[in-house]
Amino acid sequence: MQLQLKDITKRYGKKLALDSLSVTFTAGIYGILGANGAGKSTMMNLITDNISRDGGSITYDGKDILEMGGAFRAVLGYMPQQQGVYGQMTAESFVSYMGRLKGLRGRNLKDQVADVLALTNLCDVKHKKIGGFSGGMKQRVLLAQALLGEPKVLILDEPTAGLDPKERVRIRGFIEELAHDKIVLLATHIVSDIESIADEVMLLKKGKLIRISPPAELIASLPDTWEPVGVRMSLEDVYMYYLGE
Amino acid sequence: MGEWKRVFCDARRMSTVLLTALLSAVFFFAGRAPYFGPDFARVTILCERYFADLAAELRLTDEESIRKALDAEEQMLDNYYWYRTYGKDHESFDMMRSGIEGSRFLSSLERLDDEPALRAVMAAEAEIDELTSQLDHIAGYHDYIDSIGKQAYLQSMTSVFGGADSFARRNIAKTASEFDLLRDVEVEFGSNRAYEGFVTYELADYFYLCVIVIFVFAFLEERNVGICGVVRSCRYGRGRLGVHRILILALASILSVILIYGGGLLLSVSLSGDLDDLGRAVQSLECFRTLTVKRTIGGWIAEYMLVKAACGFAVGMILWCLLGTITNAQYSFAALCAVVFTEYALFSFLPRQSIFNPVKYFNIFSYIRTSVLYTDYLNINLFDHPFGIRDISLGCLPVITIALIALTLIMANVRHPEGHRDLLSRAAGVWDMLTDKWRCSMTAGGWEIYKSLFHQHGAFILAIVIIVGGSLNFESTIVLTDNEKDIWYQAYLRDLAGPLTDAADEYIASARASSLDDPDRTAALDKVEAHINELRRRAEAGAYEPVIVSDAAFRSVYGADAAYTQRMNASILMIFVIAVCASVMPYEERSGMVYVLRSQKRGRGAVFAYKTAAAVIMTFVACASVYIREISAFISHADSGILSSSIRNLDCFADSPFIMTVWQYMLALYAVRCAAVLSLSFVVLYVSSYTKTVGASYAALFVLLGAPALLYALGVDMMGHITPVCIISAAGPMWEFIKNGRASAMTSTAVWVTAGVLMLILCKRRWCSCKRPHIRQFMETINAKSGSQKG
Repeated sequence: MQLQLKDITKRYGKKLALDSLSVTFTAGIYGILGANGAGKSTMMNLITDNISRDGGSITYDGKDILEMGGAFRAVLGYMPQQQGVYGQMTAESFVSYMGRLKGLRGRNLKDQVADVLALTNLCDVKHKKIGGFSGGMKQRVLLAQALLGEPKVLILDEPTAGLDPKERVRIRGFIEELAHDKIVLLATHIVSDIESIADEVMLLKKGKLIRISPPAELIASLPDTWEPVGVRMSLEDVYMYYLGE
Repeated sequence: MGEWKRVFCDARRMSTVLLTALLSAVFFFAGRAPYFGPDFARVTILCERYFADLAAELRLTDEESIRKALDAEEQMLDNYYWYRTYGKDHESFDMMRSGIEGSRFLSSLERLDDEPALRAVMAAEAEIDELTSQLDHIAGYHDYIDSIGKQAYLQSMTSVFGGADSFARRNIAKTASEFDLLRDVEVEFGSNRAYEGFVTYELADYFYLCVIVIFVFAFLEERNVGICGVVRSCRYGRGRLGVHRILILALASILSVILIYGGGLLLSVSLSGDLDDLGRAVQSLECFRTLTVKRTIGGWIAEYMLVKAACGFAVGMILWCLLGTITNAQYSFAALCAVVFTEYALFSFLPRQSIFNPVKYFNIFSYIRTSVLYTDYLNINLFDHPFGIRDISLGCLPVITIALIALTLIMANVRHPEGHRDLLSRAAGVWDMLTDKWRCSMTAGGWEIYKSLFHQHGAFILAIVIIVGGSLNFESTIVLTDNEKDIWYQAYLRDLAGPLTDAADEYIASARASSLDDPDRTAALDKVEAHINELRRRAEAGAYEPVIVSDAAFRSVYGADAAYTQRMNASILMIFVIAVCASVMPYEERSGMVYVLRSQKRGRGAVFAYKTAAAVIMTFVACASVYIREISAFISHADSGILSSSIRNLDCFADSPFIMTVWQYMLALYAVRCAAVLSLSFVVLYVSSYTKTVGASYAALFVLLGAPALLYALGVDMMGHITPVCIISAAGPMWEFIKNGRASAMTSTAVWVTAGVLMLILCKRRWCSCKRPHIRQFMETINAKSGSQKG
């Protein structure tokens, strides 16, 4: 299982959002760190084929994802950064509907819906309309739909934003459990989330890949002269060192 | 001050208000139009002016002279009608030449084509009837007042009306005493049309309601964008803001009255009014025959405007309280709809004499249709005492208003906007829980239809479409003849209707015998015989069964005579299709779900197919609401057996190269129409896919498709080049194609259908591909380019 991005370029008018980005993902959790506008969401939208690329190729197990079309999307789970949901639907209806769009049906659909609602702790509110949910609850609904259909590639854009610490730790643990046979791309500003679960951390700056290494390696790469932000060296220091102005 | 500025300086809101006022004026004018087609505006103005001039001319004349003048005028119009129909052949030709020169109205008609001129004459004849009716009212008014007094006296002598303390007795006494005060009222003849038109223009009340709703919605904006808490946390975000909003609503009510009713009155007076008439007693207007207060027309208008403003304010407060009390925007809207529909049903359908009539008049619609309180006289039984409907409704108005102001201020200060603890939200929660099982079992296609019908209000719009479709007219008036010979000819054909057999010859023979050598009947029978021989000849040549059918019903629904009716109905159908399909694509953008949907396995082609299917289903329902009624109108007036007869039996298709029955023709016509309407729905889908909100989609489609269609239907021929109305009505091209076999007549239809399919393909590509530029992004790119060029 391999997802490969090769020389990916994306422009918005004159602005270069991604500059010849090349990276290969295999099973595991990849934390993506970058300042606002670094190109994290653009990269995710390119993988999900929601925006067009200006150059390069993306392949899954050696096949171009554009050629794969529906076959690639069948192994894809995507949770976007924006909390776009159908406010009039209940949580259960929404997840069922998304399950239908993933091609699930019958008992399989019913079981998977029940499972993901339980995993995201939404069972108590599954009959409530999403429009009345808090930001954190909407986040969990979106995560639930991304987990449907046992995706092989899971793209999570800010999955823990707006969640309370307890919920964040729970979701984080859950993602860690999932990752053994999946490619999980996790973009977040909450550095501690990545530090504890990511196998590798990808640093993006102005559309360029600065570095991709395991967290420990990144921390070790900091110069001895660097003054830690907290009591000890952490990914926050890596962020400040590599990505800070 | 900030709230005043926010409400009154919002360009979108204020332009909607102005557009509503403009629409009110347009519909008022259209309501006065005797017909729609070329020169309809000119005909309308001519007819209105004719009425005003005639009324002014006869105003100070005695009753006898007015009657004579009206009779003479009617005779002249009648002569002119036949003169225009038959030209020099008509016996009145010479007489008419001098009549035309002496009449400004007829001289103006000379410059018009036959169709608008004849329609104008028919409208003018109706106006003469209106003036005669007014004259009867003026002449009989005091007798009417006397009769009420006498009736009251007689009834008070009858024991069947109960004792002195009964409601019936009190009602009789009250009615008699109120009408007795009107004995000295002097009713005068004059140009009533302007004021009666103003009073009876019901749509203005609903346009006024729309404007009030627009302002009330402005107060609920913070809830819709989710900043209720922020506003309430501000120092002046509660009571003081509430006071400002109450004052804003009051000002908005006054301004809206000036805009809608003032504008309407001005238009009405300028069309057919005379300012001298303002000093007459309001009872001079026939619709105020039962009004028991003494007012001049001018005085009544001033009072009515003030009352309307107060009523508008009260209605606004009621709506605001209703919408504001329920926290959830969707539920509050549902509750509002339920209340408004219930009130409307009670107001419209409850009989006047029902024992429940207090709920008919003590009703929100009494404050919306306020003119009813002045034109209807009725006393309601409240604890065995009679109370006039106007006294009750207007007497309660200040009390209701004060109570609503107090409630609003309490709500603004005390009520917590968050929490969803209202009863309706709880009930909806239970409903959701019960129905979730059913919804979860829906397929993806079922979901798309469900979303279109319930999330995007498609079901609500379709209900309106079906109701409005019922008020459409499908038949055009066909002037057959007033010629004695032709009248006999039509009568013989009616008798002979059905398959053409030898019995027809026997009928003709016996009719000849009984015609008593009447030249008209003999000539008519000759014509029938010639027609029958022609039918036989054609049937023999074309190898079909000859049938005698009148093509009048066919022509009045599908023929060239019905071109304007068809055009109007096609325009309205276009508006229907825009209304039901415009929200299908932008809904996903508004929900922010486009990327999530597109990332699913079946989120591209399949979702698009389902969306298209939903649009097609709703389009078919809209089509059916119009076309089923049209077919029904045709069948109810057509001769029996017309459907199965060959189209060549119809005079209009005598030379058609096609051998087909009438029902096959209709099948082909409706198939072409459905294809054209489906193409329209595809165009709507494509255009709306470029917009990000439902509102923007409606606005863009109305400008691109709706407005040109309506203008064309109203007679602006220039718009025919840019609107597909003729293609959608299909009657013209199909008529030409079937009549003469000219395939080129269908070229525009073929182009339109191809364009529709192309748009659907482009729309699919747009949904499935990642290049999804929107109008706003186009504008940003253009701005950026122009900025860089300037730089």
